[in-house]
Order: sequence, then C-alpha cells, then structure tokens
Amino acid sequence: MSEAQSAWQSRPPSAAHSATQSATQSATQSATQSATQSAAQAPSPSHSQSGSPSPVIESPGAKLLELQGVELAYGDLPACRDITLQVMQGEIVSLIGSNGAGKSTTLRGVAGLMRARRGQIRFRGADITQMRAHERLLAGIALVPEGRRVFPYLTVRENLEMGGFRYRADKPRVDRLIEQMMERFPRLRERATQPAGTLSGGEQQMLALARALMSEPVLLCLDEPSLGLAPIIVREIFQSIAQINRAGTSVLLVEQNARYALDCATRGYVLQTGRIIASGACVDLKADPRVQEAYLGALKHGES
Amino acid sequence: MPDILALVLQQTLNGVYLGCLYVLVALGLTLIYGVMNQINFAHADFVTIGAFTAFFSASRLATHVLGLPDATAYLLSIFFAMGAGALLGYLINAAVFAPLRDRGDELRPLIATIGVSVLLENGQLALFGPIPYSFDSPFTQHTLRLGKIFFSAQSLLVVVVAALAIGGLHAFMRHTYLGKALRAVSQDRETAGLMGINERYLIGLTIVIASALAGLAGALLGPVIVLTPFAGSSVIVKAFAIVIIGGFGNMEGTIIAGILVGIIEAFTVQYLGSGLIDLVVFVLLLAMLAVRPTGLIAERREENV
Repeated sequence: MSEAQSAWQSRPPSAAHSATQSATQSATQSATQSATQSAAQAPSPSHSQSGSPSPVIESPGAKLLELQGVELAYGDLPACRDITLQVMQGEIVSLIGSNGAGKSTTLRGVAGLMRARRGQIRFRGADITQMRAHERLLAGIALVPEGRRVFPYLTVRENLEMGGFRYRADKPRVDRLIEQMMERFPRLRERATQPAGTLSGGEQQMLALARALMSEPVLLCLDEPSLGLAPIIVREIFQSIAQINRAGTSVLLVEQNARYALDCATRGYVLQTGRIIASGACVDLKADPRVQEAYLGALKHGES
Repeated sequence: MPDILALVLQQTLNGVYLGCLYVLVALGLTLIYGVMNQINFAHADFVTIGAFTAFFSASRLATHVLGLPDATAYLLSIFFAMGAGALLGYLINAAVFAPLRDRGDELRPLIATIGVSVLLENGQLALFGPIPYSFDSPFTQHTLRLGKIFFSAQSLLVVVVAALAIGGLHAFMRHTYLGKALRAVSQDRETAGLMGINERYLIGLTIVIASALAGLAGALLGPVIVLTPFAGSSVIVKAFAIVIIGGFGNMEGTIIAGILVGIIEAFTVQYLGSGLIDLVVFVLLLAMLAVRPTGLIAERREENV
C-alpha cells in the first residue's frame, strides 16, 4: 500500500517523461501498419517498468480484460453488437466514437451495470459475464460513471468512504486511503465536510475519480471525464489519469474528445453505431484519415 | 400557573405522545420509500403483528411461563414485538419482494405489498378471530403529576422509547458505514452498486429495520387501539398523511410532521371535539398538497432518509 502511495507521488517526472517518449517513438515506427487490425498488439513499453508492484498486479503485458463478441441491449434495442476488445495489464485504452456509438454502453457492460446478452467478458482470466456490479468491483474493476454521479447529500468524505466500502471492516485502511486521496486532490480536503452536491463540476469529477480509486482497482474505467469541464481542469484530470496509470492501474477510457483520448492512451478502439470499426495504437489511429476526418476535425499531419 | 397555560401545556404533551406513536409507524413507511421508492401497503399489518406479539408475550409468555411482574413483562414484550416485525419483514422480503424486484419491474412489488397485506390480515383473522382483545399496559394506570399537568406512565414510556428509536436510527444513518451506504443507495442505487455495495442486501436491511419499527409501534399502540387483526389500518391512513406532509422519503420531515399532527389532533379534541380529528388532519393534508406538494421541509431539503 505504502509502495503504491510512493509511486503515486514521488516518481521523478523525468523518468516518466522519457518513458513516454520512447513509447511514442517505437509506436511511430509501426505507424505504417494498418490501423484496423492491431488490436491485440503488445502494450507499449512505457509501463513495463512501472515500479509499483502492489500485490494485485500481475506481470505487465498480461491480458487483463477481454470482451469476446459482447452484445449489450436496452430492452430489445441492441446498443452494442459484437464488441471484441482487450485491455492489457498496465495499458491505457481509449474508446472513441461519436454520440450514441455505444462507448458508454460498452463501459457499463464492463462494470456490470448492464448484463451482456451475448458474448463473454473475462477479467484476469476469470469469466465475469454473469457478475453484478458490486461483485465486479470486488474483482478489481472500478467505474467513474458518466456525469460523475457523486452522492449529492453525502459529504465529500462520506463519498470517499463509500468508494472504500469494500474495506469497511478495516477503518485504518479506509482512513489511510482517504488521506492519500486528499493528498492527491487538495481541493477535496478543503471541501471534506461539504455535501458533494455543492461542489463545482471539476471538483465533483475529482471526487468521482478519487472515490473510484478508494477501492484500489486493477482496472479503472472512466466515462467521459472531460464532459462539461473547462480545458484547464480537463488537463488536470488527464494528468491525474496518467499518474494513476504510472502507479500501476490499467485504464479503460471513454472520451468524446478524441484528441484527449488518443493523446493520453496507448491503444484505441473506434466505435460506430455499436460496432468496432477500427483499432490500433493511438499514433496509428491519429494518422488514419478516416479517424482524422470523423473525430479529430482540423488536426493536420505533424500536429500534436 | 394560569389555567389556560396549563391546558395548552397539557394538550401539547398529549399531542407529543400521540405524535410519537404516529412517527414510529410513519418512519418505516418513509424509510422504505426513501431507499427503494416503493410504498409498502402491508406496513399496517406489521404494526398489527407487533401488537399481537406484544399482547401474547406480555399476557401469556412473560407472566405465566416466566413468572415476571406485569411491568417487566410489558417492557420485554416490546422487544418481542420488534423481533417479530423484523423476522416477518425478512421472511416476506426474501419470499416475495426480492424475487419480484429482481425482475426489474416497479409495479409488481407494489401490488405484491397489497397482496401481502390481505394475506397477513386474513392469516391473523384465522388465528386470533374477529373479537377485539383487551390489551392493558400496566403503565396506563400510573398517573404522574407535574403541577396541574397530568400524564400516564405509559405516555412517558412511549415518548422515551420513540426518542430512543429515532435517536438510534439517526445515529445509525449518520455514523455507521452501513447507514451511510443506505443513504447512498437511496440517492443513487446504480452508483452505489459501483462502490461494491450490494443493494439487494441493503434493501433487505431497510425492510427489516422498517418492520422492526412497525412491530415496536404495534407494541406501544396495542393498549391504545382496538386490538383486532385490522388494528393497523386505523393508524396507517394517518401515517400516510404524515409521510406526505413530511415529504415522501424525508425522515426529518416525517418526524416533524408526525409530532405536528399529534399536537393538532390533541387541540382538535380539546376545542372542536374528537369527531373532527380526521377532518382536520386531512384538510391539512389537502392544503399541504395544494400549497407545497413536496412536503414540509422541501425548501431546504437536505436529503432523503
């Protein structure tokens, strides 16, 4: 636990930076490959040396999450058809696509808020397709839901306590985790006794993120973390996500803003009307004319 | 002390006593509504079962089998009634409500509460018959006197027990992990699941707590009401009115509204006659619905449950 904390805070920025650079380079070399068929590539080297072997982490590069032909539906209305994707240990994976493409639905399916009516979901080798949301949290999957969904009438501190519900019998551990979160997001300390509903949007997003981290997840799922927030706050949030990832947590990110999503992640999947239409390393996706045209707008070659 | 002041104090006291009884019945309703957005039409029958359990455990078991004095027997029977309510709540949730809720429909569990109500009423009718039982609390005969104000030991007991129950419930909701989780479920059930909170378990717990409160209310109401298998329904309509006046699902509002209705009722008896009680209470309810449909303290609405 204390190891995770130290990795969280005291990682020298230079080391992380160079790691990211080398990742970018190696990925650039393979940029000529087809962007559509490289879903199962090995993850980037940037995480192979993330030095926080908290006890829950398996060897880097192992398959963490695997969706196989998953179909999700609202009533009789299928929102996602035949979703097949993987998240490797230590990766950040982005799902991009326009409104209604099924990104959030996919994430809800991963977190157990929706049950797959076809296909299989495996997590750390185990079949979790039939597990309910609270069981998946215990298995190590945490979701920061779309729209933040903090408990508005609970205080900030109580919200964090709810995030650490799985450790409720171990009060010192919960207190230590809350202390870590407040260290990480000082605004939450200032607001600790306020009802969460009185927080600003950015503060609520930080609270929702911290609340999810309270369960010490192996896989952190984020649904539209930038939604409705000022650019400066979005930058902060994405910096936090990168830090969390460096400390050893794998991330599955759904993001409307494809540029943020592709900049932050190692690999990405592009969804359109409930299907995956492209996947690959983010550098490849950024170079893909279809992705550029549809989701990156005016982004030109060589930019970013 | 001038007579008019003594009279006002006397009736306020009577009102608080009545109000405490109503609050105990209404709290369970509001708790269930707050956590799972469901009206429990069988709540009245849990009150009745509490009353019968208290009656039989006080008059038969405790005095005859255990040989306890009347006062101790009655106090003990309050716990029996709570336990009976809790147990029955647990069983009915496990057998009826939970399986129906899992089918993802809100209407079926609601209608099932009506079915359970009919079942419990007729079950008790078959067991206990239609003739009213006379359930006397040993505390009713003791009258305490404070200047010109009189009250029975029973009413003091009711106020103390209600205060303990309300205080205990409040402390549970505010300061325990499970209580906070209950509030989380009431605010956002889906997100509570994402926290690793098993909402099925917490919904079951809510029903057990609400049923235990109903049983408790039954034990305290037993000596006041006409004890038949349909006794609960005589107070449940007023309890519904209180829940609505307090703002559905709002615990604080329910407590305030309950005491308020009790006091209004006491003064109605004093000045207008007991025949007008229901008229006054329900005119108040209609006025409330017209003026402020979200309940008494909706303006500074803190939270449900």
